[in-house]
Amino acid sequence: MAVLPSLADIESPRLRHAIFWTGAAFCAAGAAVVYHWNPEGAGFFPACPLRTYTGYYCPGCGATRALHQLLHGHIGAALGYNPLFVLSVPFVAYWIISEVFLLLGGRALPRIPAPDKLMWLVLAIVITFGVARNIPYYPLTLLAPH
Amino acid sequence: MFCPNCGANNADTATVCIQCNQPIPQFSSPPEPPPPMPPAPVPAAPVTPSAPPPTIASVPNYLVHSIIQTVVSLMCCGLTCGVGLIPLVLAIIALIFSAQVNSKLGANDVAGAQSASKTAKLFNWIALGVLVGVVVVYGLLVFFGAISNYWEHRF
Repeated sequence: MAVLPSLADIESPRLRHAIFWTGAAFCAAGAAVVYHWNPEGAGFFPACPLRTYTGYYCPGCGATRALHQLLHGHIGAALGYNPLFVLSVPFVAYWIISEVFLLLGGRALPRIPAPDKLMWLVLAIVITFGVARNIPYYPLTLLAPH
Repeated sequence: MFCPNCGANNADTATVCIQCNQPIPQFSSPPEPPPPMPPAPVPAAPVTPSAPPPTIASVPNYLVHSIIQTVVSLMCCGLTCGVGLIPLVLAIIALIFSAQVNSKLGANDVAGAQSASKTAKLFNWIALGVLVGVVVVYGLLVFFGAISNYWEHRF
């Protein structure tokens, strides 16, 4: 049964810990910056080239702004910026928690199953979402960042 | 060592996981656990650590890795577009080879499947390297932007 990748796949404990702590430091710094500054209007978050030059939204458009709202507990505002990102948060959170348990707690939580068909479905959902949020008709405009 | 199936921490000499009862390969292992076992909890199934013949389970297709990288490259378009979509293209090449592994195994072309598996692994590593590099550069840009913003408002 295929499962999501994990630091448990890495044989060397030293390498595993090095990757874990580097990633943890990077995520903590990123979360602190995104918590403190709203990417909407902060001025120093580089704008997406796709949005700037073509006007299209990619599937991840609004994810940083949604993360800012989520960190402040505003789930409704976060859903408005990027509903797919908000839906993925529980899975990513479980994955992060299980990595922390593995490295710090010394015991592993059950890994998230990832059979091939499910992975193809995820890819199809992401691509469909990316196309749908660019269609300018009413129900679909709700998927665009607003 | 950690169980490749459930991640439980086992003794280095363990051949069967203490948590999920799945066999633990003794050498550097592909992410796919080798033998397909019945999902029902079989009491004390005898496990031989010998290498199984090439079957669908023993040629890893890295499909999970390829699709995660494709999805992340799509979702982080602000990063991947900035470098000409390179991580996305690399991830899609890896995905094509991942998909070929199963179709070649289906056609009994084990050598071809192993070759496609290796190519998928290679492109996954290159894509991961480029993606991590881009994320680090983006993170540093935002971080220095944040620091200068902080000092501007302080004085």
